[in-house]
Amino acid sequence: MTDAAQERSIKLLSSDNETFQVPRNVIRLSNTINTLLQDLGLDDEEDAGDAIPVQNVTSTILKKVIAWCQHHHEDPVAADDSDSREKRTDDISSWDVEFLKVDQGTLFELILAANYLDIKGLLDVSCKTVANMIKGKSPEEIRRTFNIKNDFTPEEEEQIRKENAWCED
Amino acid sequence: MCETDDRRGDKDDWHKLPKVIRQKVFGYLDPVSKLNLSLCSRRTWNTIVEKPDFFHKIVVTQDDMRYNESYDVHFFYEDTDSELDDCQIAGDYYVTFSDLPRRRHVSDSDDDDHRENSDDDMENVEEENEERHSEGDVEMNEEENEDEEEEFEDEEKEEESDDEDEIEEVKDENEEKKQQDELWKRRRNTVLTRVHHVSDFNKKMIMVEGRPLEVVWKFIKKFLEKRQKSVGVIEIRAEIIRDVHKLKTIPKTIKKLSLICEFFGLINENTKFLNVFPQILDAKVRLKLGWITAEHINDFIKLWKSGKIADSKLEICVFHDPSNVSLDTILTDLDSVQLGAHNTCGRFRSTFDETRQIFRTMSDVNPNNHMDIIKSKNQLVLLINNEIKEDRGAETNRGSENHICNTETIMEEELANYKLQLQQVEAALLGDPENDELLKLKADLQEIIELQEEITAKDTDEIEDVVIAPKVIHKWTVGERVFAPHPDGKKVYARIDSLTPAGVAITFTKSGQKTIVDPSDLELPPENQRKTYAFDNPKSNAASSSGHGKKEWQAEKERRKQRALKKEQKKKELDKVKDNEKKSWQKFNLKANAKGLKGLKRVNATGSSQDGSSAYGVKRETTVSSRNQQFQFKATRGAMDSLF
Repeated sequence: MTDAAQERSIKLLSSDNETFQVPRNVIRLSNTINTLLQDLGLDDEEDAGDAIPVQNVTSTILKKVIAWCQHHHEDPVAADDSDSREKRTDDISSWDVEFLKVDQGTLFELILAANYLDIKGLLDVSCKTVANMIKGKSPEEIRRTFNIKNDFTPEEEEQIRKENAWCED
Repeated sequence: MCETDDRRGDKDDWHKLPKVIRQKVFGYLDPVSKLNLSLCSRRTWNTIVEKPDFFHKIVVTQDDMRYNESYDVHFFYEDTDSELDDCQIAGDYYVTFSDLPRRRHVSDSDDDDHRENSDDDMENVEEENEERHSEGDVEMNEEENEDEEEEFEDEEKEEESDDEDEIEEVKDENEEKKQQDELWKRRRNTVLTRVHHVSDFNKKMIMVEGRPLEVVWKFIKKFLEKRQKSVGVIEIRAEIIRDVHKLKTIPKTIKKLSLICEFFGLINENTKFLNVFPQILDAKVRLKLGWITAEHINDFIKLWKSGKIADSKLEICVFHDPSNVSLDTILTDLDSVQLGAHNTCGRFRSTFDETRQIFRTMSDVNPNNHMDIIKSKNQLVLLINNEIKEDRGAETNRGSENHICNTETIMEEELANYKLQLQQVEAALLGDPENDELLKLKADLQEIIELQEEITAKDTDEIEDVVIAPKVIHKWTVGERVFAPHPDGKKVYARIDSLTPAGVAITFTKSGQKTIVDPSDLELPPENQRKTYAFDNPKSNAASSSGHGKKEWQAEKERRKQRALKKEQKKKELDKVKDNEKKSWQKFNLKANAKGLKGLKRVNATGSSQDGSSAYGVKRETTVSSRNQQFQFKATRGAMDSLF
C-alpha cells in the first residue's frame, strides 16, 4: 500500500443510496471494507471505480460512522486488549462521549453498523456506553431502559427479590 | 432492512442487539449489574450468554455433631455451562449422597425408578467407596472410622429418621435390623451425606457435606474432572485441621486455596496443613483463634513466613478478648495491619482497649501504613470480633479512608497526625510565609483539629458511660431464651447453644444465625420468663378458692390445647405456602430437571455455613418447615460451630 493509495478516496453507498467519499486511510478502520479492498485488489487500481454498497447502514448512521473514523483514523493502533482493560467502561474519551450522546435508537444503529463494518474502536466505545447505561441500575430500571417486559411470575419475582435483597443495600 | 425489521419483531430493545454485542456489553458489566440485568426477565435470565459467570462454591462440611471432626470445605469454581447454572436463581438444592450415584446409574431411566432403586444405589455407594479405597489415592484409617461409627450410633439413628425420603420404611422388624446393619456397614464408609447447591450472593454455591474429609475431597475432584472446570477458590473450613494436610492431591486446576481454621492454642500441633499450600499458587488462610496468646499468633506467623507461601494473605480473627496479650509482639513484624470485620459483614469490631493498643503498636511500626489496605506482602488482617460498637462508626468514618474507625483511639491517632501535619505546614510557612496554598492548608488543619478534639471529647464521655453501665448478673443456662444484640444492632431473641470461655454461643431465633457473644451483652427477654397462667390473673385469683383451683387448671389445659392447635394450623398453612413456592420454582427449573438433574429436592440450607451466606440467612427468616428444624437440630454442634 503506497502513500498515494492511501490518499485515494473510496466511495461508499448507504442503504438508502447516498454516496459518501471517504479517504482510504480513514476507512481502513473498518476491517470489513479494508479487507474487501485488499482482497479484491482494489487498492492497486487507480480509478476509484464503483461505490461499495454498505447495506444495513443508512446514510445518517454512515455519516456518523465516517465522522467517527475521521476523528480517530490517526489514533495509534490499540494493543491487544488485556482482560483488565476490557472491563473498564470509564475510559471513554470526551470526544466519544459527546459523539455518543444520541438517542438509544441511534446508538444501537451505530453499534450494529460498527459491528457490520467491523470497526473495533467504535464498537468498543459504543458497547461501553451501553454497559454504562446498565451499570448501577436496578432490574426495574434496566427493564425501563430497554423496554424489557418482566415476565417473571409474582412468586418468582418475590423469590428473586428475597434472594437478592442484598442488592438494595 | 429486512433483517432490521426482523429484529424489531416482539423483541425488546436489549434483544434487538445481536448476541455478540450483548455478550460484549455483558463483558463490561460488574457482577452486580450482570445479576440485575439477568433478573430483568426470563429471557435475560435464560439466555446463557447474558448470565453472570457465576462462581460456584462447594461447601463440604462434615455431618457430625462432634465439632472436632467437622469440616467445611467451601469450594468455588467457575462454571458457565453446566446444568447447575441453568437451574437456579434461588433456592437450595439438596441431594443426598445416595442420590449421587443414582443420578449416574439411572440417569437414562425413568424418574419413578428412583425410589425402588434406592437400595441398589446404596450398594453402589458402598461399592464406590470401596473403589475409592482401593484406588489408594487417599489414605484412610479404617479403624478410626469404625471407632467413630460407634460413637455416632445415636446420631446415626436420628439421621436415619431424618432421611426418611431416602430410606424406605421397612415393616418387617428383622429386615429392619438387617437393614440397619447394612446401613452401618455403609455408613462406615459413607462419605458425603449431602450435596447442596446454594446460590449465594452472586456466586453459586454447592455444599457437600460428609466425612471423612479425604473422601469428600475425592468427590470434589471427581466432580471437577467430570466437568473439567477450572477452579477459582477453594475454601476449606476446618475447626480442627489436623487432617487437612492429608489433602495431598489437590487438583492442579485449583488456583487458590483458602483455609479457614480455628486454633485453640494448639498451633504447633496443627501446622502440618501448611505442607498443603506450596502446591497452590495463591493461598489465603484465615485463622480463628480462640484461646490464644500473642505467642501463638507469633508462632503461626513465623511458620507462615517460613513456608513458600509468605506472599499469600493471612487473616487472623481473634474471637475474644486476648487478655494479658500484648498485641505489640504480634504487630511489630508486619508492614501493615488492617483491622477488619468479622467475615463478610464489613464492620469494624474491637474493644477500645484492643484498638488503642493496636494502633499504638502500629504507630511504632509505621505510622503511615496503619490505614493502608493490604498492599504489602506480609499483612495481617487482624479481625477482632469482640465487642460491637458499631453506632460510632458513622461518626468517625468521615476520614477518606475506607476503613471504619470507630474508637476514640483512632481519633487520637488522627488528631496526632493532623497536629504533625500542622507543624510541618507551619515549618514550611516559615520559609514561604506568603504561600496561599500553605496558608489555606494551615487554616483547614486547624479547623479539623478543633473539630476532632470536640468529637473526641464527646466520645470519651460516651465511652465512660459504656464502661460504667451496670452489667446484668445472671447465670445463663444452655437453652435459655435471651435477648441478644444482632449484628445489625438490634436486640432480638436468641437461644443459648452453649457456654464457653469464649463467650456464649447463641442462635438467633428468627434468622437461625449463630454467633458468639459476650455474656454481658445478653439480656433477659423483656417479658417474664415464667409462663402466664390464666388463673394467675388477679381478677380470677381474687375470687378463686381452693375448690375452684382444679377447674381452673382444666381451663388452663384447655386453653393451652387450643393454642397448640392454632399453632399447628398456622404451621400447616405456612408449610403449604412454602410448598407452593417450591412448586413454582421447580417449574421454573424444569430445564435443569430435563437435563438430568433428577432426584433433586429443594430443602433449606443447613445451618452449617454461617459464613458468607448471609443471603440464605435472610431467606431462612420466613421459612417454617419441619425440614428446617431438622437442620437446625443438626447444626447445633456446639460453640465452635458458631464461630464461623
